[in-house]
Amino acid sequence: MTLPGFLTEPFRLRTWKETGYALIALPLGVAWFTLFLTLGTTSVSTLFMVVGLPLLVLTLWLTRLASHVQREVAGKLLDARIPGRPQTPARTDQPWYRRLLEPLLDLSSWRALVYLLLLAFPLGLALFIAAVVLWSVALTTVSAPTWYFFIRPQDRGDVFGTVIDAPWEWVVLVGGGLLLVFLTPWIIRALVWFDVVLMRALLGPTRGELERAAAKSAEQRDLAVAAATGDRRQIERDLHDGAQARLVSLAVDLGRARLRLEEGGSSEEAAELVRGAHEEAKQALAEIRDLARGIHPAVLTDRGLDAALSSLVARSPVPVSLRSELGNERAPEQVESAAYFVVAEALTNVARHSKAEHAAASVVRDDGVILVEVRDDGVGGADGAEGSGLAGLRDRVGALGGTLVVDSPLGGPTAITAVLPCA
Amino acid sequence: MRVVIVEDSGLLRDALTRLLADFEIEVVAAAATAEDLRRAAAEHAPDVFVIDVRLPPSFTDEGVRAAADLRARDPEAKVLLLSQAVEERYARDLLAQRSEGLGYLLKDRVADGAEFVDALGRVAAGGTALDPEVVRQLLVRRRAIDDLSPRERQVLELMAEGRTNAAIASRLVVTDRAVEKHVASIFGKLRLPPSREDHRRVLAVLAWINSD
Repeated sequence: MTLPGFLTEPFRLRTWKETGYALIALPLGVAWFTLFLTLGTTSVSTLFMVVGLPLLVLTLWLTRLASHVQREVAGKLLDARIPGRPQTPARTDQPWYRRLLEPLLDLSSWRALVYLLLLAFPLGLALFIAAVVLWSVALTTVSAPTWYFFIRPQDRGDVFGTVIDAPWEWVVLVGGGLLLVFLTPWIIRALVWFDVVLMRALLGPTRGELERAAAKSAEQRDLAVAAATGDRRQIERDLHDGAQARLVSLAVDLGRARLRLEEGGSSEEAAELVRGAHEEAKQALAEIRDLARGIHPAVLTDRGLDAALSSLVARSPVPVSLRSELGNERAPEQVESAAYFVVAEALTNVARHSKAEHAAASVVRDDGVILVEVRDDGVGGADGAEGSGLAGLRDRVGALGGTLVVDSPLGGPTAITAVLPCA
Repeated sequence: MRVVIVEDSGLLRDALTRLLADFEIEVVAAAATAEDLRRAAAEHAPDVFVIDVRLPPSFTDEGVRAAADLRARDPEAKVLLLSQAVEERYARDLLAQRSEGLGYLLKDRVADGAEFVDALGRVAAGGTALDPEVVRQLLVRRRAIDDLSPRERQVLELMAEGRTNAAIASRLVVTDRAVEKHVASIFGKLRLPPSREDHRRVLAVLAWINSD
């Protein structure tokens, strides 16, 4: 038999989690109120002195932490998923003081401050009082028949303001209590809902932030598609110009040698043709090997970025010094792969165009990013124009939310730097 | 010389068998998986194994693992690994175990039959045959080689491939004595204990390359 929802509500876990939240909200609200009132007033009143500004920045940084706590509590107890600010990759291209001051200019920290300083405390108080008073009254009246008669008769009038003895008085008391038992969950839920609405508005992302995040992810997807298409076109071209051309030439030479031998012509000439064909076959092997490696080196999957860099650097005709500090933990596959291809493309450019005598490649994992840098002492002038290998790389790196910077003035030197987020 | 081949591509398996037959080397078994390798090893006890690095089921480094396994169980086993692309990391794993009776070459090298058979013979005799490409990779992270002259570096690379002084001399078209001189200079610069014997010198160079 299924009871109407109204009747089962007081016995559901959800109701008691919401009551739990109502009880916790007050201490949390008091904590935020005192913390941010103290920090806020102190920093504002000392703003004309040197200490005020750093204190204000600290206060705003703390709002992020507090919002996080508040969102977590709401998520755990109310099953209300309140999204945080959209993750933006670390802006390593900005100077440190600019990054430190970021919360000052970030509207979301100020919005959070409004909730934490002005709303959390009164809301917490209201929730706490509502939960305590309503549940106490409801449970006291409902259970009255079980304890009322243990009270000395002369004191009975003090409990509910009047002595309960007429049957209709009992009906009103217990009936009212029962009603309250079934109503209280809904009253608390309404208050909690109001709090959640405010939290969503003030601790969650703004519409603008959400739209920007959506636009960014759409842009990243486009870049990934562009990079993949570009890669395929490049593979097709390499196969056509390289291995295929060599195999044609090899077949022609072998055919000519066969003719010489069949017609009983000069076997010396045939041997010469076969020798050439043999060389061409070996060249084709080497080209196909390079091509396969260019598509995806197996060792990258097997043993990771650090291991894969050895062969890249070893194959460079220009001497390269390698610095690789990646730690023991592997980065996500696409990040490792992008870092690998940045080094590969940069070293290819060094070999083809730079006229450099030496290059240095460095791949370092630090603070949630992989920083890839390839420098050479060549003539410069590398550009990331449309359709070039560097442009393809920029798409690939952009698709992962990273940035690629090519610094290559005419006359050199060239530095190619990529920052790849890998949290 | 008796050889067991482990290669998943039938085309390459047959090509290898034909090539070795031309040099009067007997292929006693040609297997396609690491599983078959174990069986063939027990049954035939060949002078040397030729193993493809990429084998089923995952086609990553089964061959390397099968070789390591084989060499761990039988210290006398000689193994020549063939691979589409050689990797310093795999070489390090294998060298860390033992550098005697070990070969690790690009598959392309099979195209130069005589050269390939020479490498196979070296491995079967307990020597070493490393691909020039993997040697270059192994040297990438060793800063000390910056102290060597270009010629000395060439000699070091050829030694690391597992070649004797006489072979290095003929390869570089110089006299044995000139090679001796370079070797002495390399050993001095890298602070390696001098030795008169080819084999020991190769071992010293490989141990130096593989030390971190």
